[in-house]
Amino acid sequence: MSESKPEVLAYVLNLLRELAEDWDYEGDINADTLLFRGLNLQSLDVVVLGNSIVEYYNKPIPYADFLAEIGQREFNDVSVSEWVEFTHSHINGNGA
Amino acid sequence: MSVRTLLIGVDGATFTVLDPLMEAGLMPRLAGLVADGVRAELRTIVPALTPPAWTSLMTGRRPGHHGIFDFFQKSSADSEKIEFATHKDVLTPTIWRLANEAGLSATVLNFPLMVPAPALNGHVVAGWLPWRQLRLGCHPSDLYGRLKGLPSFNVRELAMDMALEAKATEGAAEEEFEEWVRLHTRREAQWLMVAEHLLETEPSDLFAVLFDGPDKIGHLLWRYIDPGLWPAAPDAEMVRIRDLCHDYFRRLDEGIGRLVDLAGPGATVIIASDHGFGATTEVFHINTWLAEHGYLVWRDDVTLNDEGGTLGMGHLSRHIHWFDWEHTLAYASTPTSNGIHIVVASEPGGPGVPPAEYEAFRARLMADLHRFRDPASGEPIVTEIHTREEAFAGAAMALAPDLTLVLRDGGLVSILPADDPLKPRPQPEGTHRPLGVFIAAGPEFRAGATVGELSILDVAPVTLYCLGLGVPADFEGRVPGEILAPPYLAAHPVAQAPATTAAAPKENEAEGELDPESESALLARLMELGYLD
Repeated sequence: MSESKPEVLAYVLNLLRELAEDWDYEGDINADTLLFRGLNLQSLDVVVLGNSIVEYYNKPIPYADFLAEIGQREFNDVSVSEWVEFTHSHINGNGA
Repeated sequence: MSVRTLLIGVDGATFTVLDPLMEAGLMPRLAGLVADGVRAELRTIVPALTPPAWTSLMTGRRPGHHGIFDFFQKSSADSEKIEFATHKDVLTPTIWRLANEAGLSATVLNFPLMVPAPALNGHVVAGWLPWRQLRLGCHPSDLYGRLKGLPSFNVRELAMDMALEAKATEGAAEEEFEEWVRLHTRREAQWLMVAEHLLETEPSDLFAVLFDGPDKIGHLLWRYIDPGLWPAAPDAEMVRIRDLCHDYFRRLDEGIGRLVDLAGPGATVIIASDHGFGATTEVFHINTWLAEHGYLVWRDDVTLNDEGGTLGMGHLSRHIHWFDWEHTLAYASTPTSNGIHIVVASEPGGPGVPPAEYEAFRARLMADLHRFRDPASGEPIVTEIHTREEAFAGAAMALAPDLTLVLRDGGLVSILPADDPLKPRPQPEGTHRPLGVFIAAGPEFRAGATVGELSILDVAPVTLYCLGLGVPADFEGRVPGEILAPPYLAAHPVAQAPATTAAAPKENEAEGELDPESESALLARLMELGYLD
C-alpha cells in the first residue's frame, strides 16, 4: 500500500479522534497535537496505537525505535505530524 | 443459536483457595459444577506465566511452537532487544480460529494476545489492554460502540487503567489493599456485564471469557487467601481484608452461575486456569548472581538496590541501561519468566560467547547455578534448570531464553542489582505455581469424578471435542479418556483432524522492535498493571 502523507495524516487523525471520543477528550486534535502532553497518552498507549497502524498498512514500522529516540531528546514528546512523518516514511520504504 | 461450549478462564485459580471456599459454601455454583462434572489439577507449561500459558491453552501447543514466551520477548534470535508480544506473534492457530474454520462462531472476552483484535466470526474484546485503546481490541468494529451503550459500562474499569492499577500496587501499603480487591470486584462485574449482554443477544457456539482477579489478588494478598498462611490470632484488619477477598470470590461464583444459566442447559462448561498459586518468601537477584560469577558486567555508574528486596519501578525502568553489553555474557531481561539469555558472538572476536563454545559455556553456567546454596541451610536455591531444547523445542525456539530456572520457593527472579543475590521478603507474597484447575460439566463428562493431573495442553483438544470437532494431529495434548463418560465416549469417539499449519517464525523482523529505553518504560507500565514482580 502506497499512501501520500496527507492520506496518512487523515487516517491517523481519524483514528485518534475516534478513540478520543472514548476518553472524554473535548479538545481539537490536529497535526500539532502532542501525544503525551496533549492527549495524555502513555508509552503502552502509543505502542498499541502503533500496532494498529502497522496492522492497517501491513508494513513494518519501528515505532519502538521512534519512541526511544523521543525519550532521549530534551523535549520528549511527539506531535501528530511528526508521528505521521515517521509512519509515512516507513510505509513507503524510505525509513531510516 | 445457542452456546455449545462455555469456556471460563480463571487466571491463577488454584484448588488451594477454591476448595476451602467451596467447602464453606461461598462458591456454591462452582461446587455444583464439580459435583455434576469432573475435576483435576491442571499442570501448566514452562514457564508458568500468563501470556505463554493462556496461549498454550488457546492453541494446544507449547511455547516453542506457538511462539509466546513472556509479556516481552526477544525480537529476533540474535538480538538483546525485546518487544511487547501481540497476537501477530502467535504462530499456531487458536481454537477460536479452528472453530471458525469448521463453521462455528466464537466469542472471546478478556484473553491476552488478542490485540489488534483478530477478525473472528464472533466477537472479541481483548484483555490486558489499556482502556484508551480498548476500541482497537474489539471485533467486529461496531462492538465497542454497542458495549458503550450498556448501562454501567465503564471502560476504565473493564480494561486496564494505569492510574488505578498503580495506586493499588505501588508500595503495596496495607491501606491500599481494600481498594485493590474492590477494583477487581468491579472489573469482574464489568466483564460479566459484557458477557451476559453477548450471551443474551448474540451467543456463539464457543463462548469464552476470562477473569483475572484471582491472579491480581493472589499476588498482593496471598497471605489473606491461603488458609495455610492464616495466623492463629489474626487482627481485625486482617479479617476484614480476608472477608473482602472472600466476597470477591463469592461474587465471581455468582457470575459464573449466571453465565452457566444464560448458556443454557445444553451447554458444556469448562473452567480452567493458566497456572496455580503459592507463596514466595525470598527474592533471587539473578543478575546480581550472574555478575558475582563473572557472567554479567554492570556499567560503572550502576548503584545497588538498597531497598531490601522490594523491586521499585524506578529501578526496573532503568535496568536495561545497567548492563555493559561489551562484556556481558548472560543476563535476565524480564522478571516474569525466570529466563536467562546467553549472548552469542555474532562475529569472530565480537562481544559474547563464541558459537563453538556455547554448549560448554551453558553447561558451566548451569553447574554454577546448581551449586548456589542458601548460606544458612545449605539448600539449593535453583531446583530445576530447563534448557531451551528441553522446554521450548519447536519452530520458535530461537526466541526463547537459553535457560529457564525453577526456584525453591516457586518464585520469580528479580532482575535488579542488589548487595546480596538472595534476600528474604518481609512478608510472604503470592507467585505462580505449576498446578492450576480444571473443572468440566456436561454430557461428555463423568459426574462427580476427580481424576489425576491433566495438562493445560489438554484443554484445547477437549474444547474442540466438545464442539464435535476433530483434534489436529499436531496438538500436543489429548482428550483424556478418564474425564469422559464412557457411554458418551462410545457414541462419540475422539476424531483426529489434519495437522494445523504453523506460520513461519519471525526472522530478523524489525516491526515493533523495542530498544532498551522503550522496553524499560513498558516494563514499568506492566509493573503498574500488577503483573511484574
